[in-house]
Amino acid sequence: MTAQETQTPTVERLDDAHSRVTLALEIGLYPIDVLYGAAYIFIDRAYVLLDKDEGVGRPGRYLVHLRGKNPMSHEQLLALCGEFGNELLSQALRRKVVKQNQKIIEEITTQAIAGAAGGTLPTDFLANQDDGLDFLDDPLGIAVPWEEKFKKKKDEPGAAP
Amino acid sequence: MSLPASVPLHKVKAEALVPFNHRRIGGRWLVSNDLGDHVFLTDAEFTTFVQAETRPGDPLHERLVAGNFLAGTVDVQTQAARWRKKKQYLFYGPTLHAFVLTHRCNHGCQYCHSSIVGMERTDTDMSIETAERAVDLAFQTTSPGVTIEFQGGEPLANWEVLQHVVEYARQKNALAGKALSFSLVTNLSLMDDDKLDYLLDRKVQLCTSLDGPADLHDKIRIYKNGSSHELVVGWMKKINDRYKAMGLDPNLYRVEALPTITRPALGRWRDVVDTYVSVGCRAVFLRKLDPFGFAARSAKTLGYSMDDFVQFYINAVEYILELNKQGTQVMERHAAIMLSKILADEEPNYLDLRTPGGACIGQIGYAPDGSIYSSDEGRFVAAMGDDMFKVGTVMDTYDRLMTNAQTRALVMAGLNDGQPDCVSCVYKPWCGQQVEYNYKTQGSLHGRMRDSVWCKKHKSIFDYLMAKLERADPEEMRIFERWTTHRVLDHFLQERSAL
Repeated sequence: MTAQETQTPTVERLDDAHSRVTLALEIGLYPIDVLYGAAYIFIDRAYVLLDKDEGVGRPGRYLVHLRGKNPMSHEQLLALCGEFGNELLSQALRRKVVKQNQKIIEEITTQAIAGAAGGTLPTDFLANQDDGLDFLDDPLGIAVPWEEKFKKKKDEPGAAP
Repeated sequence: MSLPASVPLHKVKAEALVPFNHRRIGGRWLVSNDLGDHVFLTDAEFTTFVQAETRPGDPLHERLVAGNFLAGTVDVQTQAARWRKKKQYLFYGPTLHAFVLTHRCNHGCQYCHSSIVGMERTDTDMSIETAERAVDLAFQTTSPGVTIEFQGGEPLANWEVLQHVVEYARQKNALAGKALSFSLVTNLSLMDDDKLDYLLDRKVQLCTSLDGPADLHDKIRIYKNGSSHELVVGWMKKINDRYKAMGLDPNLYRVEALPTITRPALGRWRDVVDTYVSVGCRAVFLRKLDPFGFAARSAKTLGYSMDDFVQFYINAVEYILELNKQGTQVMERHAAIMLSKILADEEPNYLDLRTPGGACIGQIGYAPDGSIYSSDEGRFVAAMGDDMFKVGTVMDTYDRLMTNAQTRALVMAGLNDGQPDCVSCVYKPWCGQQVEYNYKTQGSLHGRMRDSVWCKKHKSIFDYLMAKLERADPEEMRIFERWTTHRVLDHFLQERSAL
């Protein structure tokens, strides 16, 4: 079947016989996290493969290959594409809402967990869970030997000669 | 929703207004804020409001001040205290502890959520050791109240462990001093006089299922040893008589029963309500079929669209209101919960309608093998072969259960503030979502409220009730006031030093 234009994303290929469909969406229209999030929602219904088409003389595109785990009719495949588009939009909008309301979300969650756990959690409780540090990083200097941490510099009073 | 066309955007004085959401209801604008206040405004009043053109002394100005809609007039201290009171569930851990005592059951209900097995499968019973460990965990909650709810399967099938949990929890409570209560969700088929004597003596609240008249109930709730309906109705009468004989107020103390609405019930709202009235119930909780367990598998025969359910619901509540006007006191529980929030400014802590939702921090489900789930629904998902909502086991520490990454994710996903649609919904201050439902129906913890049946159900019921409030028929308002009068069933609270 030839490419079918829908709003967004575009149905690039649709193969009724094998319950397969390929969607294409312009890189830059959705953040990659949003694409991952939307694609993940479909793994119970379809086998999902994400790919990239760099494009020659036109903007690059993400390609989403979906193959139904069970046989799907033409209409069901089109509905699957529509669902995918809706999920993309929903994930993108939620990302924005969460960003806008991040402070209140974190404060309420921290309070709820602290209330349930019976203590006041550190204010950076949520932020600390994934701070992007490598396991060898040591921002608090915990692994620095005591002698090294507290050794006096040469010109300080009491420093070793 | 966008502003009415009559309001020029450049004239809106957002800085003078408390953030609000709005929706057209019955020819006026329903306006609400996050504090839980609401007001109905005509087009002209709405325009005056958003342009902040009211003056002290104007009736409209005074209504807006009373509703905390004008930024400069809000008493922040008072409103902060009010918010804290309504959100007190954020300050403590789970109150509801659902103990699944066994997977065994002697009924074959077509919509059963659980993974039930035959009565010979005693290997699916909760052991005394697991039960004790679960009680130990339940008592570590920071909540001042603990409700242990016995579920199954049919929990009476594991009678020995049920009794043990009651005695062990009462013993622990002698030291803990919590507001401890027990409830038993049973089909009543294994009830006998000795068991009833014990349950009444230990103040265990009894709840059962009643789907309507006999033909409807027995068609869905299949009991091979006879009529489930006859059995349930018989025991309900007997138990209600015993409550009366104990000197308990019959207006308050009755067996709680719940119907699950299936397709055959859709045209029979009168029959369902009449059955409840005939067995002496003062409340009906019209529950939609869930997307879990057998219900998911039997959706083709028992299921229906949300539009169908909403129409059924409205028909039934209209009929209930009619009965009230004729002098029969009966309420619809879901409406009563919503109206308590809207009219009485109360937070009944109904876990389906709070934000964040109740997963882990409001309730915990303990399975017979010691697995711990985020909620009842979490274990229903597990019964379908997906352990997504298993947050630990009874061997874990309470602290770990409450603070692990999974619990945090469930709490954050269950917040209206992170959800498109919810953030701009006029019903936000009174509504909530259930992450397990989102996951089962739409594949993610967050779901998509715009095409979620959960959202459609709640929004439709809110719309219906708000249209009633907008019309403010005096007789209906008096009925609603009665529905929202909170009466504590303190008989079911264990004495703090029970031993």
